[in-house]
Amino acid sequence: MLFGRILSVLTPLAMVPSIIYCLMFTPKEATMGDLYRIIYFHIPCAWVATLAFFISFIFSIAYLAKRKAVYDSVAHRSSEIGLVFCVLATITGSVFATYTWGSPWNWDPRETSIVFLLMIYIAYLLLRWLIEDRDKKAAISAGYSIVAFLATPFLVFVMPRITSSLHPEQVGGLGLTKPMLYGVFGMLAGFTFLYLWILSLSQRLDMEEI
Amino acid sequence: MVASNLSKSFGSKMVFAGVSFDIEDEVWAIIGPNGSGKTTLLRIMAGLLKTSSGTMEWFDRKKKYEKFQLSGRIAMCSPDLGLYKEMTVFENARFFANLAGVPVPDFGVWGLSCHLEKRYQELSAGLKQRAKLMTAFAMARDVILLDEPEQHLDAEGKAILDNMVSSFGRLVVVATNNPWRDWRKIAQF
Amino acid sequence: MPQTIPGETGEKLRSFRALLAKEIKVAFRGRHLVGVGFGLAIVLSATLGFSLAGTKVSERVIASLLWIVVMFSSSDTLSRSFAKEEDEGTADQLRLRVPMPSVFLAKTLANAFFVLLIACVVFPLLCFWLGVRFSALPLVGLLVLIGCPALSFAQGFVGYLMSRGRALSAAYPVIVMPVILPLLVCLVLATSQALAEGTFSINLVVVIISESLAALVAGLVLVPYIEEE
Repeated sequence: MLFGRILSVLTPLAMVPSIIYCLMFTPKEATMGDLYRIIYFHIPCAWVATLAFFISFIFSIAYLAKRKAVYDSVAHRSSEIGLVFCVLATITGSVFATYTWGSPWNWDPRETSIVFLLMIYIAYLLLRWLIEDRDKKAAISAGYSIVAFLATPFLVFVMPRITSSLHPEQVGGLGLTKPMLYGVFGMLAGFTFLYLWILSLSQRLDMEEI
Repeated sequence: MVASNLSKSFGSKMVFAGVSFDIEDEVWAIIGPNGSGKTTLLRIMAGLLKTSSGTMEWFDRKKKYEKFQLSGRIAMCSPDLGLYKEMTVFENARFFANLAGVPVPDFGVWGLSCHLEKRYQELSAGLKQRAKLMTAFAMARDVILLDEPEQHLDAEGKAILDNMVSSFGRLVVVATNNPWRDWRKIAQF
Repeated sequence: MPQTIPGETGEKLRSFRALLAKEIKVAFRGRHLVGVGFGLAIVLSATLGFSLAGTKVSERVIASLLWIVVMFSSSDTLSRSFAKEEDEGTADQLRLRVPMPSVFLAKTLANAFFVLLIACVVFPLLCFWLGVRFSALPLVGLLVLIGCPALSFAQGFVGYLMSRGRALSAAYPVIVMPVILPLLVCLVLATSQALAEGTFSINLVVVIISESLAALVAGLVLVPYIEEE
């Protein structure tokens, strides 16, 4: 409860000034002009998706070890939130790619990875939906989440080495200046608080149901 | 086998609560109508299901739940448990005897000698039940749990079963809604 | 007192051998491996061969088709091998006798053999119909030998999970696909290299082997946790 209250204050405190700063006070990019500003949304979405899936993985392990319903609820809700942000990251990435690389989809390794991640977590939620018994659902989806997550290092680290990437290696590769980086970090903080807030709310709803 | 204050619920549906017993080598019965939780209790005794609350201790080990310790010490025959329908009666018996590290059972005792080469799926319901009981008795080392064992059996089959139950010599637990002997009762639901 | 203590190495080996033999016997006598596995392999290969007759198909496309047909032809056999035991109540019989990780391992190994058998139908047919050069066949054969067990190892745990949840086995390909996609991509890349250049990157093989072994080990470690019900 207290955690949720703190987050309900922290989230707007971090997000509102960051959005205003990113859209109005950061400079234009040398070649892309205002177009680049979508990264203030795209990068935090991709970050929250990764964070949410990682949290889901950790809580899946915790559930199998301790069998506490609250761990299953966190793993489940976190993967749902991760999925939403993953879709947002894909859409914003596609919009950005249309104007920079000339086509919305290029099967770039990072794009490929995101499709894999989307498929994994859609399958995870489908598996949960297919199983009716609550305890079985929790244990089995935890097992699936762990094995599916184990496949992701192969996507993130191996695939880019096998095929060439259009993505910059890191954020610095985008050629961002310091004010732009401050904007990105502000948005990252805002989105992280937003994720934690949604997670704590949905998890509280789950606990009331149980 | 010692149980204290066992309860089991599936989701919000409570199956039973407050079951306690301390049983040793003898024949015991769990009696109750359909849907009263006999099978669930047997599955908990076999270590196939976990209790919702309360503790279950097997043998002399004071361990709460150790399935690997249980492996091979308890045999069970229940309508939910089957044999491989693609394999013959003999192959099924030999397979499970191999897993349990025991000799292949005596088929004659169960009147199955002339059905050895038949696949399990080709048997009638009564013969299937005999094959399942035979496999369970062959593998049972310390405990045998029987869930509605008289199901589908003819008079001869029931007599064989009765004979095997009384001569087993270790712990036998029978779950039935129709006890055909006056056994000691673990629970009457 | 027990005559033999479960846990002794000889005992374990004997029961493992019995489990493996049982898998093979049940699969060949049941109708699924032959009827659905081999049946789908032949029908899909023939359909593709016929549809693509007379067209120039790139190596990448041939490699993708080869592995996708193997994957879909074997998915029914793989999912049923676990689900069948739960449906027919034989899984609980095994639970009372042997640790489930050894049942899981025996099934996964037996399934590797079945996938290999299905690939032995798919690959020659498709290679023949799609006009693959003979010189590329030994390398492709080597990839089949590595890839089929890898596919089975990577899928084993998901098959086990779905059977435990009594989830619809028809949904199996949808649930398993994301987990094996990286592996499938590597297999397709290596096979298309073998078809086009007569060689393949050893890195890809390392990835294929390491990923499938990681999935197998994860399965063996996780099975006891899922079993606790």
